[in-house]
Amino acid sequence: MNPTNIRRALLVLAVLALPAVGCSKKNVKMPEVPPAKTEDKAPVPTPTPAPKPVEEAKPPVSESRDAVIKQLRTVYFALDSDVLTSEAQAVLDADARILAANTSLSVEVGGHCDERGSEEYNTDLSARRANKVVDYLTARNVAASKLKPVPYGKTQPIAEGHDEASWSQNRRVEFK
Amino acid sequence: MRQLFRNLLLLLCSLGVVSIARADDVKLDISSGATSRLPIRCVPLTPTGDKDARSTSTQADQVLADDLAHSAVFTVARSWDTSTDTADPQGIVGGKWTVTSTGITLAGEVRDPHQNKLILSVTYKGTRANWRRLAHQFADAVIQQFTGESGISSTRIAFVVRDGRTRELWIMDADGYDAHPLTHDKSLVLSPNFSPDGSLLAFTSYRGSGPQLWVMSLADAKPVLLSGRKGINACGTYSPDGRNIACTLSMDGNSEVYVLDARGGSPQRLTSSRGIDTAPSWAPTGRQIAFTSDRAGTPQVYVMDAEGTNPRRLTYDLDYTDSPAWSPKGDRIAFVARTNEGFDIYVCKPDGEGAIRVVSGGSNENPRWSPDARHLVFSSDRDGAKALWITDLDGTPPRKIDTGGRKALSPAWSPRPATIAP
Repeated sequence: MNPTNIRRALLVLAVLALPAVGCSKKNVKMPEVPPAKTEDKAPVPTPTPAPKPVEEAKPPVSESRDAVIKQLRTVYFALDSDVLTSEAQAVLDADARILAANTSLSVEVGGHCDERGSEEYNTDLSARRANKVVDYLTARNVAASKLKPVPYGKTQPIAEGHDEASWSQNRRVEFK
Repeated sequence: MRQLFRNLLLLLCSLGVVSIARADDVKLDISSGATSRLPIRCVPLTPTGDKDARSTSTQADQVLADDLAHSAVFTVARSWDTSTDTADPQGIVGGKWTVTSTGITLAGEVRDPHQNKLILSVTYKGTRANWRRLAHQFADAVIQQFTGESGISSTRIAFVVRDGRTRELWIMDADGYDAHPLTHDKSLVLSPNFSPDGSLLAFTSYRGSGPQLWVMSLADAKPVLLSGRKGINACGTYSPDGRNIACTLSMDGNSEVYVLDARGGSPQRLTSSRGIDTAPSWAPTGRQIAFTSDRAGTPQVYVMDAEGTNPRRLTYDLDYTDSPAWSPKGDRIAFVARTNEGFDIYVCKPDGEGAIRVVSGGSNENPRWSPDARHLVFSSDRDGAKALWITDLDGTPPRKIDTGGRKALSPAWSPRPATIAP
């Protein structure tokens, strides 16, 4: 592009942008362009804006969302395991009844691990735990679309101690 | 024009350096394993110029001597501290430190004390704000003079700082200086990794929705989404040629290792086990990938071809291994093993032979090699709170990097900067 063409293009852009300012701010936002300097290095991916957290729709139930979530009990796991113990299954049976009675409620199913093992491995282990719970609940008439599994690995401990008393509290799936 | 002239001067100067270096090269065989450090003696730089010269030159003396001591190449005697005396130094390191209104000039020298001969003479110029870089550059040149390979004093370390329930991405110089955050999301960050040219950082962040793969250019620190597929998007690791990214995705059900192109597209699945497959680390040839899998029960490190073929378990001597890191020289793999005492760091050959424990005591995690493969940085709670430590792999105790008391973890060591002047 020679300088005259650039000037012309800028002029056109400016003219196009002017009325847009009046109607909607969104329209004038230009897409971000990756830096041109890195051409012969590793390519820079096309930027994608971070998705905005979705506002929770208020459940049309008598109780508030928080009150329902509070009734959902946390389940615990053995070391390096995603097996639902009979105790955990009993807890989830009760959780499933609450969720089935509040069909509009969307919940996050957070998988968690204790501090032992790498961040990376624990992310995967916590995903496995969360998915196990989602599978169990959907088999009990809870809509899968209302359950969002999130693997937190070992990033969100309940107890900060370095012994089994703390670790057993941290190996869990909790609802949020 | 003046800039061009200066560059020409620098070029001529560097050519001169190269010829001196060739004539007097003294090489150490570090690869043999039994490393002995070379005694060397630092004398204070001679300050000249304006009134700030003396105070900054004293600081530069320290930075230079620390760089040389931390290189694992030298035992450093500091002439200003008699407790550090060493017998028979093989080189005397010193020079001139000139501070003027326009900047700082370091004219560094190394002399052979036996023949009282100049064996290295280099000049570096910089701004007053950037004075540490001059000391680092001189240290790297001294290391190159004695080993044939530049040091790593000018490299940086990216890491994660835990603050309660949030984690941010940080970066600092390899000596712990200039630590500062790159994200301010109050979200979670995991597993940062540099691109081979050091200009980009790939990392896992929950800033969007769940664990997604992001990348930022260090020039603007703006996170850009690389992979936001369903489930886990984690452990993004650039191939040595920078064209691909190995990572962990769970879009097909459970965690598997994939290779993406550098924009995050065209996923190719490399593993297909019912267990967890994660934590990929490329061989420097780009032809093999080490990773963690619990396909046989407990987590174990495996090595496979870069196409996903021929997976084989790295070692059968340890019943829980994880977090492989392939040495940039290709000849060793570092990993974490769970033992009765905690989590220890081991190093072995890529065929699994010769495993030796290099770090023990407490919970030691995420070993990462320095670009010269002489050091490993890792996170550890060995003296209490999580912090970053460096081992020189020669039996000397690991040293802690001062990150101002912040809980630091998940380190990644940058490559050497692309342009080293002169």
